[in-house]
Amino acid sequence: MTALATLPLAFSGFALLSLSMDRHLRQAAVQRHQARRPGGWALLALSLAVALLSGNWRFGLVEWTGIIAAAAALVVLVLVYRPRALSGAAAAGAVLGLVGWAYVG
Amino acid sequence: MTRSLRQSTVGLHTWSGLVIGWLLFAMTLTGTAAVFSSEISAWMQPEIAGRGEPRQAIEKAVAWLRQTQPQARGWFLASDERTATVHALYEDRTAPRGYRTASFDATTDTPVARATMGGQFFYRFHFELMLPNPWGRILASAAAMVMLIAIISGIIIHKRIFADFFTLRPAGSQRGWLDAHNVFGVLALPFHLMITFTGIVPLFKTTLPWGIVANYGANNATALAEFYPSLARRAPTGTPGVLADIGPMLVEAERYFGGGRIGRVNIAHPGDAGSFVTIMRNDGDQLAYMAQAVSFDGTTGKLIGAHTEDRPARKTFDVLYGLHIARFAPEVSRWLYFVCGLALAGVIATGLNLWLKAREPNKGFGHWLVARTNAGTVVGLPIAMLGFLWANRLLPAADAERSAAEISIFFWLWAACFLYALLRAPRRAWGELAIVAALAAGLLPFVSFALTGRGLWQAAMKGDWLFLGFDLVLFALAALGAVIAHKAFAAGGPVRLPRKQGAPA
Repeated sequence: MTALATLPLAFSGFALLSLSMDRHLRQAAVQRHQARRPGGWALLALSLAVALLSGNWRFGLVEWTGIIAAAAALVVLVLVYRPRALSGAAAAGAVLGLVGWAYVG
Repeated sequence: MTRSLRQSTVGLHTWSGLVIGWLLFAMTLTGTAAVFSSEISAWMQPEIAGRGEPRQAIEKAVAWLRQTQPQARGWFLASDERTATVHALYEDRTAPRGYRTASFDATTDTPVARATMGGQFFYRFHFELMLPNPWGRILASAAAMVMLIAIISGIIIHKRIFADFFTLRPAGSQRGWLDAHNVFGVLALPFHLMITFTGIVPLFKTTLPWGIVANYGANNATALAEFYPSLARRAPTGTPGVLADIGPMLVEAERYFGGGRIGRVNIAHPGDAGSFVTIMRNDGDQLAYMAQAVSFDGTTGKLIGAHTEDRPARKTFDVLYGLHIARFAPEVSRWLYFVCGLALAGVIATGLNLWLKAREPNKGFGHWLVARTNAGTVVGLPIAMLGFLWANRLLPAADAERSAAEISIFFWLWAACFLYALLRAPRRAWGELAIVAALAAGLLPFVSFALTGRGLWQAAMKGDWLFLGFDLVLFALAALGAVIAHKAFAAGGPVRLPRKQGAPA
């Protein structure tokens, strides 16, 4: 169940990336911050690393490409229905992902 | 330069998508269902509980075939470890198709499960469309190639692939449909490209036969033997022989696979002195499809051949094929294949709808036809697929030819939905057919429980995950149908934004 780590990490990464874009900043009603874009990429990279390092990397890579689609779709849904919850959800996702990583890794 | 490329590509994307959109939708949806082909088969044969070890199930199947089908030219066993079931296929001249199937688990002495094609129907339909060979495969390959064109041209014409990455404005406008089309398409783009490309590759013998013709001429048998060296071939001797015990062969095969499990067992002319047994590795523990096999002499049980695939071109092919059919996929990956497959169906359905939205108001025949064909396909096909499952529960379980009847019901229902969509105004057809689909999905778990005693709370209490999952998916589909019906009826008084410039981009 590597997904317990990779999905929240990827969600958090995509959420930060979306919050580095003006349109979604307005939707989520948060201030601009320079660190979000590199932070988002870093979290995505971390989720990829977790996927590759847990057991069979070939299976991990295939699963990760599906995980990022699901994670990005979740960000889109939050932006549609609960845009103001996104920054909190991003933080929760990062914590959950790290806990999940400790649990599965 | 970029502008003119983009503009000319818009036409390519629009028309390539429209012409094959309905066929692709059908291929995508049945292919998505086929991700759970094993589970659908198990649901459609509720008599089999799937208990015990797969290897014991193989032994049970061989014991039964030995007793009842000694004269068959071959027995072909597929061990499905996800459902702990073995499906055996054997020649039977009295059957309409020339063969019959029987299913076993480790407790089955005599197969009792109802005859059905099960999930294999969706799997075969997905690339053969139930048309005579090779036409179904040719059509499916052509559609997949056009889909690759549609995906790549779609990437080219998408003006703001990164700026709009997370954008979904769910208004009832053309803009909202375009956003949905883009979100479904872009977020799972790696999957869409992978599944389309790897879908074209396995049919290369149909679409690119010239390499084989140039190297082997008319000698197809040699080409096959070199492509599948793992499949031993030997003619029957004509003298009767007795098949040795299968158990030790299975043990030796597992040892050769180095921990890999048994996947398929083919036994050729089992009642003959020249019989032989080929055992192939399970596809569930590696990306590649069919990478190892061993053969045994049938009467002595001695090893006569072993093959591990290590030719780079063949390995590449096996991995591409394996990626497409996802037999390897553990549970999370399997669900992701399913969800991404649904997203691809969503791309196609929203794309078909966009073609209409971009041309409204329009009273032409093309618009009339597309609007109705959309409803007949996008809602009609799911109704037909659900009807296939209903037929499985309602047709008498003992009828020997019920498998063909289930398939007929699928096609008749689909045709009926098409006819209905042709006769009704599109919005009404959408709404009414979606209600039918929602009812068909939502009521099936109850009907199934009444007729089989498996499912619903019973499944939850007993930890019968297969039936539980099946019921939950059906309830989710019912909810989706209800939402679509609601939207279709609510859109009665159109509040439209002024049309944006030109065609969708």
